[in-house]
Amino acid sequence: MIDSANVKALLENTLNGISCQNVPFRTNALSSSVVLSSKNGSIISYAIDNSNPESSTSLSNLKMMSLLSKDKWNDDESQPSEQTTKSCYQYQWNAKGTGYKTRIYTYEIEELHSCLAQIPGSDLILLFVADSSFPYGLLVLKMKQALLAFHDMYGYKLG
Amino acid sequence: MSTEEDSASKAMILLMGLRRCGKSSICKVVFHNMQPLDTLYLESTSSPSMEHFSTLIDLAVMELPGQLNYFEPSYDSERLFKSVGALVYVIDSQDEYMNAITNLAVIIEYAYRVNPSINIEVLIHKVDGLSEDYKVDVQRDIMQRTGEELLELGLDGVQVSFYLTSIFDHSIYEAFSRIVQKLIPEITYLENMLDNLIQHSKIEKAFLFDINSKIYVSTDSNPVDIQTYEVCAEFVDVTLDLFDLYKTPNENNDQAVTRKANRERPRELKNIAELENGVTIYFRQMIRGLALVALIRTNGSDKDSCLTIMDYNVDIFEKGLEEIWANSANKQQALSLE
Repeated sequence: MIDSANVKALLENTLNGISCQNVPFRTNALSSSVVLSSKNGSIISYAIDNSNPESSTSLSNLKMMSLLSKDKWNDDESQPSEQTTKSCYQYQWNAKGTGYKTRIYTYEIEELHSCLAQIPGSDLILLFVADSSFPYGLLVLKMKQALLAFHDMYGYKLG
Repeated sequence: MSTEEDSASKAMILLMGLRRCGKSSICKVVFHNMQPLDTLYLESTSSPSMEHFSTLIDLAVMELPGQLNYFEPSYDSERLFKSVGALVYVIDSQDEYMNAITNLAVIIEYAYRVNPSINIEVLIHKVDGLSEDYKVDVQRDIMQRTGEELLELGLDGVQVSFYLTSIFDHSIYEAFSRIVQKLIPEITYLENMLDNLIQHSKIEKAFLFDINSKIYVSTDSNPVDIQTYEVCAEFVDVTLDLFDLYKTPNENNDQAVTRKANRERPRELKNIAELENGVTIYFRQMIRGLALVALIRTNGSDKDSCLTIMDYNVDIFEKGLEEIWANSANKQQALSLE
C-alpha cells in the first residue's frame, strides 16, 4: 500500500525552484508534480504550487494533462526506435546494490514545460510540470535526482 | 397584496382543478418530498396557497382551492391570470370527469382571453389505479371531449398538452419537468450545450436536475426514457442521503484545518457509481441548486480516462451555465429598471 501522506510530502519537496550561486540564475517553482498510473493516466498523488496563484492549475486540468502526457509517453515508450524527437534520455543508476534504468522524456504542453519518467519496474510515472521559463535540461536533472528519492516505489504494480 | 406583486417578476404556475382531485398532494410530493401515502390524510385547502421554487428561474406554484368560484367580481382573477406563465389543470381520472372538462373549458376560455401566451397543461391524474389499456382510452376520451368543448366555445387554436400522471411513480416529476421547461427562456441554449457535452464525453443521457424537487430543468435532445429518468432521480436521492449522513461534525471547531483543506479542494458535491453492465452514473453539483446527472457508457475504453475527460468537459459546461445565468440576471435587472 502506498503511504499517501509521505508521497505527497515528497512531491511537495520536488516543487522547489532551483537557484544557482555561481551565476545569478534562479527558476520559479514547478507548477505541479504528479505521480500517475501508467495504465490509464489517472492521478495517484499530486502537489500543486500554491504560492503563485496564476500557475496553480485546477485539478481537472491537471488530470487532463496527466492523461495526455501518459498517452504520449505510451506512444514513445512502445516504439522507442520510431521516436521523431531527441527529447528522450536514457538514465541508469545504482541504488542499494541494484542497477536501475528508465527513460526520461521532456514534452511541451501548450505553454508549459513538462518532464516525465517511469518509476523503474513499476506501473507509476513521475511527472513534473513547469512554466516555460524552466529549462528542459534542468527539469531532467531534477527528475534524475527525484527518481532516487522514490526508491521505495520501484517495482510497484497496481492491484 | 404584496405577495402577488412579488411573484409578478417570477414565472408563475397556476395549479387548478375540481375539489379533491389531488392538487395539494402534487405540491406536497413534488416540492416537499412527502411520502405519497401520507397525502391521503391531507386536509382540504381552503384558501389559495403559494409554493416558491427557485432553480435556474424563479418559479412560484400557486394552488387554488377547488370549490372557489373564480368569476366572483371580488376575486382579482384578471390580474392573476395575466401574471401566470402556465396553467396546470388537474383532472381526476378515477372519478367522473365530465364536470372537470366543462370547468376546464370555461377556465381556458377566460385565461386565453386575458393572456393569450399562457401555456395550458392538463394532468390526467391518479392513473396508477388504471390498467395500461384503460389509461390510453381515458386519455383519448379526455382529449377528444376537451377538443369538442373548446370548439363549441370557438377556441380551436389553443394548444393544450396532456400528461398521464400519478404521485406513486415518477410520472408527476416528468410532467412537471416538461411544464417547467416551457417556462425557461434559455432552454434551447441549455439543450444545445448538453448535446455538445454528451457528444464529446461518451454520455448516453444527461439531465440537469433541480436537487430539491428532482424535476429536471433540461436534458439533451435524445428521447427521455422514463426508466433512465427514474434511475437518475433515485441516484440524486442516494447521493443526498449519503452526503447528509457523513457531514464532518467538527466543521466549526477546526476551522483552520477545514479552511486549508477547502483551499486545496473546494467542497463540492460529486458522486460516481459504476454498475455491473458497464454503465457509470455521474452526479455533479452545478450552480443554483442544480446538478448534472449523466449515464456514461464507456464501451470498453478505460473508465478513469473517460471520467477525466468528463470532469474537464463538465467544468467548461458549468462555466457556460454561469455565463448564461449572469446574462439572464442582467436582462431581468434591465427589465425591472424599465
